[in-house]
Amino acid sequence: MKDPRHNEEPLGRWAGNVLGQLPPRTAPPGLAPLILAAISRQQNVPWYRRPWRLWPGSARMLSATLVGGAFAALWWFLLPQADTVSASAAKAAAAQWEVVRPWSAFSNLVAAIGKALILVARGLNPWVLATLGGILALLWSTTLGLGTACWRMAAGQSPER
Amino acid sequence: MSDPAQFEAFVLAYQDMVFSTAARLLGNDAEAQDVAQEAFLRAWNHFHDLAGSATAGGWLKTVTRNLCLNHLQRYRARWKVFSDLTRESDDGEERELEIVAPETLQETMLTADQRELIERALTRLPDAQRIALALYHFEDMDYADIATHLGVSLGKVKTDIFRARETLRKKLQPVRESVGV
Repeated sequence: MKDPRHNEEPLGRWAGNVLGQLPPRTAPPGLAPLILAAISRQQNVPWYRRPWRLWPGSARMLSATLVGGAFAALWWFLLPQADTVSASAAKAAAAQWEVVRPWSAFSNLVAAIGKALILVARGLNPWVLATLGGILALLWSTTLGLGTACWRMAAGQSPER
Repeated sequence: MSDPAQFEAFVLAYQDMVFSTAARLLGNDAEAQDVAQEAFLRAWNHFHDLAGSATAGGWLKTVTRNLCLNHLQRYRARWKVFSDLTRESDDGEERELEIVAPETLQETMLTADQRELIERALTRLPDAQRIALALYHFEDMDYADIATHLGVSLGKVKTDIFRARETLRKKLQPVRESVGV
């Protein structure tokens, strides 16, 4: 339900009056032929290449039955072997962790560097840290602004036309 | 299968309405044509229900509007963060009460040139303002509906519509004087 127009301020009433007088825009002469050509192209596409919801009813029913049957069969065959599947999957996962384990040394190294950096930061003057933070924020916002400008130029559109 | 000749008549009957809706929301004729084409393709897929239906026009208008909003959503998601940085707070209601002078309105018919001027000014409005204004004045949606559809606050919708009207008022000063505002 629309807001009661009688409560609108003068500017709103003026806009309503002016915009209400605009007739519908006339469609370009090429629009209807374009639409009809697109529909003609769509009609020439075989039914099985169209979206599923546009398939003939019988084909949709048959395909749904087949897919449902395939899933049911898969479930049926996998279910009794679920324990075997789980055991083999667990072994495979364990084997993968064996390969990954040496990387724990790398993570220890990263943690050590992180702790060292924290110690250095604690030793610095708060004003130095604040200045560094300000510089980083400035760099980040500059990058953001430049990125936005580049994107707008590349996309050829501005939200505030 | 639907009758192509009947559908052609359907297209000719509704193409202005569909194009008009899309062009005013999108502010771009080429994109409006794409959206109009998509809307009619959807209409073709439902034509067995739409043919002869009294609600076909409304259905088509709703589909067009939703397609436009979806189309805009893709772009809006990209520039929303940056455009929001330049926006002021949602204080549209207060500003509206402060700025608008107690003017009177006289019902006067616009000339063709003036209508053309208004259409041009509409397409030049910022997206956020034009969309909100078009939904309110051309799609007969209320502020709350617009806010819901656009996923923005009620205050922002009011601010955008207010600013759009203000921009139109400033740009169309000669028209405004002629209609006696």
